[in-house]
Amino acid sequence: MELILSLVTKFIIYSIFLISLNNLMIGKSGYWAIGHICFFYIGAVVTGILSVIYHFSASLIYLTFFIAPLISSVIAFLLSVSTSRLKGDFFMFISISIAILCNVAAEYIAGPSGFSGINRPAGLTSDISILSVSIVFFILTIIYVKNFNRHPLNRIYSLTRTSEKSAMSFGINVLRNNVKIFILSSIIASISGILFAFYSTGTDPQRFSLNEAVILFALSIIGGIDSIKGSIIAAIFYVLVIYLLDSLFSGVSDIYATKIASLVFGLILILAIKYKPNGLFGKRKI
Amino acid sequence: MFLELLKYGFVFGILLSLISLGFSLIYNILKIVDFSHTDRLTIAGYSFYILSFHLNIFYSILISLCITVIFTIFTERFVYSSMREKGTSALMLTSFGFSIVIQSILAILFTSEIKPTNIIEHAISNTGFYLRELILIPVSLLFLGLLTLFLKKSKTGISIRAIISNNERALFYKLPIKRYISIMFGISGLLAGIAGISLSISNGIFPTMGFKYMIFSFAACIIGGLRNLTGVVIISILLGVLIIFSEAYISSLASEGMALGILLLVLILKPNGIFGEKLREI
Repeated sequence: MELILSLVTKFIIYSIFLISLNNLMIGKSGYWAIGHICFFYIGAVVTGILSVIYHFSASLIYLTFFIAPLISSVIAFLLSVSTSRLKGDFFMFISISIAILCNVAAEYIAGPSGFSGINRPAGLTSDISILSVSIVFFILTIIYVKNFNRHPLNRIYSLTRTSEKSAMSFGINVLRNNVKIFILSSIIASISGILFAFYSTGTDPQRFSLNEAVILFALSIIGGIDSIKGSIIAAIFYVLVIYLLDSLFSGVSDIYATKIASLVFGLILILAIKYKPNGLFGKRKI
Repeated sequence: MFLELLKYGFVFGILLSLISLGFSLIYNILKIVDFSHTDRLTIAGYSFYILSFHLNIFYSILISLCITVIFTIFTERFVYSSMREKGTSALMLTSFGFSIVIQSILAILFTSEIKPTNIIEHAISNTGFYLRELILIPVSLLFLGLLTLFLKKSKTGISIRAIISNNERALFYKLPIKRYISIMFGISGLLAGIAGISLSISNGIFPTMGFKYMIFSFAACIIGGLRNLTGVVIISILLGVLIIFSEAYISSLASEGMALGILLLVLILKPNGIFGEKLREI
């Protein structure tokens, strides 16, 4: 029972993150934001800072739901302003380097092994309650994204992806739209980070490294870009694979599980790009 | 202290310029940022580490350089070449995935501990010489000079520059583009191999050792302007000195942050680099 609970909670949290990466960030803006995991990390680390360094009480810790999205939206704003000058590969590198800078800053604040012993907020002390809050956020995110797909703005984004110049010729403010979508997806990603920190009561840097970023990126390609079904199935796949590897190598060594996971997902990324570039449920190619 | 640091910074800058030259050669010919470029350092380091148990130092350096060059060419032939028609984004994601695959294979085979390879340097430094200063700098400068001569004077070099400046016209003149791409990858693998062996001698080896240098060399490439190879070398040496100083006076975390900070500033303020001609639409 406990096992199923933990797996389901992880699945819900990761699918919130994957929806924010896959359906909002990559799906709408069309930018290859490999470093999107930094918003996930910001959510977790800000919660850690408030709880461990500043000793926020169990009811005050709810403030993290305002502070972490605020910080990550500031960073997302800076990132999105850079898109006015940098396209394609250069944006990819900017996004990666912001993720690395976040990792360096977090290592500086929290030390090499991250925070541990984060207080859960009042009323959310049990695993079940964290799960139910996550499910609420999950359903809200899905409803939001589904509504977004029907909104006229979605068509504006799809025009911008095909040709920025033609979008500009219709009088569309491309930069403002980019800023909007970056901030939105960063807020959702940081909320999933907060839930992750509350659930695991710690911020293990291993879970937010660049390796992990590429794994999650590979997952969104496997699921299919801009497909909600794809993101959810990719999240199930990820949680199950990680659980299987962890239980297979639990006695042997810590390294094998994480390294074999990254080997598997790296190979899957290459093979998916080569043989199935639009993923399981996606309509768009890479 | 100051002069010593300056000397180390210069050595590090020369190494960095080898790596970033390889980076910018690959960028120029394929128009991608090759994220697995610095894994060639790791491959060179590990093959040197294994070979140095069995062979004497010069043979092991030679053989591990050969291994690195062959590995690089094989990467291009079997992994990248089939992805080239799918566009640059797909190619870059492939290089990212490939880099993760290589790093995790190395970690599974050799664990992710840091393995020291500084035994040889101690043996030589006891007699009053440093291996790095004595062999590395002349060899690297020689290779830089040879590379310049090769690109400027030889027929292959001129064809390569033709491909770099206009890919489609090179196709029109029936230049064997595939072979030249392999040659470029071989050269960048050789440069990365030299840098990898000397870095592994001084710092030890571990599967993710290339990652840090990827950041630094990419920063040097962008700041120097990707097409301008002289600019890349100059900026690499300056950045190397700066990194060594910040590592000595602040902390090793600060050097990564600083390199990335400068990179972000340059990318936002002057996206074509300091010495670069205009190649991107702003």
